Amino acid sequence: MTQDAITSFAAFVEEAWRRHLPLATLLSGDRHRGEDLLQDSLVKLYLRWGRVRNSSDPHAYLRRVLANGSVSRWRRTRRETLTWETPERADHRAEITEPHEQLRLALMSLSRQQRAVVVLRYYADLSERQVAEELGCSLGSVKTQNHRAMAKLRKLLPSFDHSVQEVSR
Amino acid sequence: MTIDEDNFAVALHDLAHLDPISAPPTAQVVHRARRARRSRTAAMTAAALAVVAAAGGLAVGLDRRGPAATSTATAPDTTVSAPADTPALQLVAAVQASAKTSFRFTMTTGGTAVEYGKKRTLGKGVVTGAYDPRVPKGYATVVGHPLDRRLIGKDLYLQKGELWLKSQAGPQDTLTGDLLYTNVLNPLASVDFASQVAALKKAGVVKKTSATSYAFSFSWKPGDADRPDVIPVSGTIQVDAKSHLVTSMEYTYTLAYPKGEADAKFYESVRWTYSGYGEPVDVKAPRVTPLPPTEK
Repeated sequence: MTQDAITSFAAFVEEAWRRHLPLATLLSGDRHRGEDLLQDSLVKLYLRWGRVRNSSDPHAYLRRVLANGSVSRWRRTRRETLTWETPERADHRAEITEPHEQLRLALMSLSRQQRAVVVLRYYADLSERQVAEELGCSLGSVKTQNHRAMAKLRKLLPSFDHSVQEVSR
Repeated sequence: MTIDEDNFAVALHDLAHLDPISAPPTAQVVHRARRARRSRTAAMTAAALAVVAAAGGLAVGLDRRGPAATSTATAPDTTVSAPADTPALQLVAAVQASAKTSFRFTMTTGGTAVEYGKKRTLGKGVVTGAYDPRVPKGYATVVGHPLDRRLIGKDLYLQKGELWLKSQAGPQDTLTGDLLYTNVLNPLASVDFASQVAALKKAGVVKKTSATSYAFSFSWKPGDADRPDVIPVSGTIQVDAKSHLVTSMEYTYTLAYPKGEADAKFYESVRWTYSGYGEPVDVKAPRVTPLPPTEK
């Protein structure tokens, strides 16, 4: 790796951190784990930086590494440790509303694969086919996971429409 | 998307951006990344060394002219039938003869690393496959990972989980590639065949230890910023008593980084076994998953 490549990677980290930390947060469940996931993903990306830096969209590549990293973590640990306690928050954080917390906990109750599907689908705004490509699974699997995840979310958030509208304010 | 899904998308955005973005830990990420790359470089070095150690042929590399040129590159028209009068030339002849025809292979790797005074075991990797340089066609299966690769002519098929993707093999592509972030080696590395054969002939020390075995050692100078300047390599190669084709190859090498730079040493061992010479290699093109359009 040349010094020029290392410099360009450092510049990419600066930009990618701001751009992808929200996605990593959703994929992993909270900001702290999101930061860990993003760091791990950037390290993985560096291993292929020579090729990735010249690709048309290195950020799309990183998003794929993030999504698969979040799922493979789940595969490694086999089960999710649900955290029902609210994580420590910084003083300057925006006011936590109950709908926010309900939504966060509902997302945490999904399997990592289901969470990756709904986050890529609704946050990253990818089509189901693109989600399948990102996660390396079939389109049918994405449809099934998405259906089950949304059904579970609606069950956990009975006033789903109302809740999300509250959160969106 | 229904209206309720639209709301859900907006809610996710709000939740994702609830916390302020922390400062990018750029220095930490770069440090970790470079360290990870060193570990991986240790693994990838073995792949390159496989070719050096075997004088090029057995690693069935897609040379810099691409897969179509491989059969030419691995089947030079010299030295095979000529009487070899030194152990080095005998070994080169055996390797080149072996690489002219199809074969099956298994490669196993393992080792240890000592980084900043801490010792750890490197991940064990096993790759099995078969290759026919005359077509060329072949496959490589990374044991325990759904990351198989198949090569048929210039078409390279890459497995990713449940999907199969197809691409045209370029000069830098290899059959197993570097899809894995783990310590599994690439037995089909892209290499400079000619110069590495020349390097072993010139700089390597080859001794014939019995009628069917050779011991070799050499210092490899990869000329790569991620590797030490000089890498000592030593190993043995066994050949069949009758056919004189290579049956196995084992070697070890050490990557030692200076203390001021990384304070790390990697001790890696690699074993290749070869069999099934001349047997047909059956490789079928998998059902390729169509790529989605770029835009939704």
